[in-house]
Amino acid sequence: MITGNPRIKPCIPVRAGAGFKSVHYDEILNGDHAAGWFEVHAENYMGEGGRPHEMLERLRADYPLSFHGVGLSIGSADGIDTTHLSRLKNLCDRYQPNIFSEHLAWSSHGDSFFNDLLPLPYTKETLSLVVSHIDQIQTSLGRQLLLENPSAYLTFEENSFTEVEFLNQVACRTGCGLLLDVNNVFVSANNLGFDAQHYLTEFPVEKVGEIHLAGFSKDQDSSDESLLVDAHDRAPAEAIWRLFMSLVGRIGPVPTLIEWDNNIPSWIELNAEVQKAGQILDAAFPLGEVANV
Amino acid sequence: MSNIGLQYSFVKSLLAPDAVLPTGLVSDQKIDLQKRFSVYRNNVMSSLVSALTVAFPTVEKIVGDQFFKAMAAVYVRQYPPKSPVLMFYGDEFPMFLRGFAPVSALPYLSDVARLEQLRRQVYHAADAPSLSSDVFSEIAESDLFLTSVSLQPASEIAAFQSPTFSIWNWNSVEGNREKQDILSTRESGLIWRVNNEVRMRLLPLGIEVFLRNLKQGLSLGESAKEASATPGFDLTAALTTLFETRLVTAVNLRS
Repeated sequence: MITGNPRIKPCIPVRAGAGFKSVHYDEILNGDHAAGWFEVHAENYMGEGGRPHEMLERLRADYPLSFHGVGLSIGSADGIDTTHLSRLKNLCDRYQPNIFSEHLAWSSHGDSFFNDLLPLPYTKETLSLVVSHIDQIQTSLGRQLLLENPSAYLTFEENSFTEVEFLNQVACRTGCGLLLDVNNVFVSANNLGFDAQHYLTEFPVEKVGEIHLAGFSKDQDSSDESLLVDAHDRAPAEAIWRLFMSLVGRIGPVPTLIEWDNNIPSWIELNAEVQKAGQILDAAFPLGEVANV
Repeated sequence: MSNIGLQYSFVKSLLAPDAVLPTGLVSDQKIDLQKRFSVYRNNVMSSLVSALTVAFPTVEKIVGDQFFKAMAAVYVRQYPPKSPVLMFYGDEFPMFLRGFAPVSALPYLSDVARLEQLRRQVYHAADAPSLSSDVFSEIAESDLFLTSVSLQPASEIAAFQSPTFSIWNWNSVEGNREKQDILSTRESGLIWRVNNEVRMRLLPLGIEVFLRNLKQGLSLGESAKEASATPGFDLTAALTTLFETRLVTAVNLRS
């Protein structure tokens, strides 16, 4: 399935980054912070001009950028929206982001977009669907995509692969890389009753180009006590930091993002989390290597 | 079940809270499937209601937070987004408000929504450098009225039957200071961008006609002639408006 065209590979400094929020713009430009790069939701920059592009251009001039898509709906049974794909291509061509990532999920059906990352059954049918869509996307963008593991609240009886097997198959068949969201692993493990550490041990870590860390919320009024929600509305929990530390201790440092999209904190608060991730990454460099970079 | 079938049944259950859940979901005693599925329902609804709140803050302020959320939820079910670019979600919201019985006592609400939508379009419109008004002094006087101009993509001329600009302004002023009585009258105005910030100013009827004609490609002379049919049209004031707002991005001399 891998086509012969050369593709731009994801390449961003092996440091901690932050999700960019316009309220932090002025403080970020002051420059005294721990973020080595920034990630934006590509869909927020699909207007033609004005302030959003003014900010993104300035950010691009000073920092490596990662574009995180939330609208391609890679798992849509009725195909990829080619209008949206060409909007994305224009944006990537204009800003040349260091990374482009998307989700193993679907969000659109018919001509409606639901703005959530909806779950897929892990079957052969889904595998060939996702593989052909990722091939279409990578060919159109001329760059390698990083595919993110989803957070799950339920699962399907007809699954014939585990999620890790499924992601690995997609990556092997399309040549895409993977974005490993540790919070999603923890939330799914908790909700579906599997072992997060085991999931991470099985994960094809050599294909991981980026890690996400985020905060989850606990559904308070649920009769279902095990339910955690991937809310991105607070700092990563202690359990997430522990999983992250043991992961990068084992596989070495990987570019890592603090994702905080709701209840947006002050820049000082967000920067403190970025700094924490950065320190863990520094400690994960093999001895002597830090001095040489 | 095929993915087509599964996604179809998922979508039906997403927007209709009473719908039965899709089949084929793994269930055991510890899992409350209704609760699990409702995470997706809540994510869809709350994120789209929140997109409308960001888009229509003045409408929200007028009707109140709780009422707005309930009204927006009705809209989301009737008009789910057609595009993943949510910055433009809510195209039909002004029209929806016009027909939404619980707000029929607020006939201006739809106009306020339309104004907020235009502000948003202007905010995101393409960039184009403005020409200095000096370029007009370089045009021979005899040619001036034959000249047509291109206006900023980030500009809209809007007319409302209700005093919509005043209502918007009244709601954006913090506290009770500076708030003035609003006359129940038709209003038209210009919405444009200065240093990437959205600005608005009221336009007298004649200047509104003049700018509309320019935007449609009529020459300065033709635009002025049509506008002069409006009582009180002042060409000097019209040109001042044109220059002050730096709306002109190109002049096209007619040969």
